[in-house]
Amino acid sequence: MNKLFVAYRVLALLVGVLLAFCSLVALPLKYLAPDGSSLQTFGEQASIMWVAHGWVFMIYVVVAFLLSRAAKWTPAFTILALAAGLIPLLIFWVEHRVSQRLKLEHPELA
Amino acid sequence: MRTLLSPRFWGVHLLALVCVVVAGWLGAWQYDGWQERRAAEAADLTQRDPIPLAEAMGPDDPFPGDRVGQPVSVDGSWVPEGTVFVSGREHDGRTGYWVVTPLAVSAPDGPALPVVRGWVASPEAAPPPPTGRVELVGWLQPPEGSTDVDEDPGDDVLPQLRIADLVQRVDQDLYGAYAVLTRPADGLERADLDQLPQVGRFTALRNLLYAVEWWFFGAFALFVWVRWLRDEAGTEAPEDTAHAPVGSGA
Repeated sequence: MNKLFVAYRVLALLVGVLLAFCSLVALPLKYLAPDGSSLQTFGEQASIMWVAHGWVFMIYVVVAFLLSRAAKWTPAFTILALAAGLIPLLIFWVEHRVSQRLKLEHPELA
Repeated sequence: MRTLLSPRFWGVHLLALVCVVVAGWLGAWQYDGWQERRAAEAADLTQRDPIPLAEAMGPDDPFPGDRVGQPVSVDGSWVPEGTVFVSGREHDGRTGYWVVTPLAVSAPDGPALPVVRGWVASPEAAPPPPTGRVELVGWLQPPEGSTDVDEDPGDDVLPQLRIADLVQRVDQDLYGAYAVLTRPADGLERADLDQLPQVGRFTALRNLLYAVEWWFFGAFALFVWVRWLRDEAGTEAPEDTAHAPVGSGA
């Protein structure tokens, strides 16, 4: 449980940062920056990070699912936690909620 | 098992099936994309039979992207006064120059195609530029273009084979392309094609990575579904046996 919890937090943070970078930095630069400018080129090259996000998200989904069984989350919260890896910034809030609740229920995890 | 097939679970089964099918289909779509892009890039045109230049492109056309490396036959007149040397070209590990002479296609004052006649170690070693009419075969290449600045515009040496630089040196209009002679001119060595379609290791790799991702999510949906079925079957089982006599025969 403890290892799962730590793994979940690390992955959630990673997915959150990658997703925020891709969708809030790389994406707008790629499509909104003037064509041919260095910012636009950067946005285009940085789009490769979507692949990284996708692969980390795969691992996140598995770990989050295992944690959801161990911590007995409701189906609705499990779905929210899984989908949070696809909605920018939501995962930071979900991770906060998960940590708070788990620490409350399992004081030894702190 | 019967309870799992009851109408109130149909929604769950349908959702699971849709997830698996959609993920599998999206994965197959990305996989096809990966294969197609590799196949398209691998198409090596350089060994094909030459086609007339007019079939590949007209004098005012943009460079046809699917014709990189296509051998073209051209018939025209040399424009010797337009000869230039393009610096920084490698051949057999040595850095030298490409020798470029425009060829006025059809008429002597018609639009001209810059032709890379070959490679020399230094401009002084180059034979005098050719004159007169000729029929030749060359590999079609898109013009170069970068921000390299010609540091000495007074001489015949250019840093890049750029149409905008060449057009100031001849009276003719120029094609938006150049050709590299398949057989170098006398006194020159072979110029190596530097713009050939190549299948890089990372070509469309992104499509393949996405394909694997989609299949993974499809498998994950399947896994969750099966696990849910097992759990449901496990919790329902005692109930089933308890009610079995009542419900028997149904």
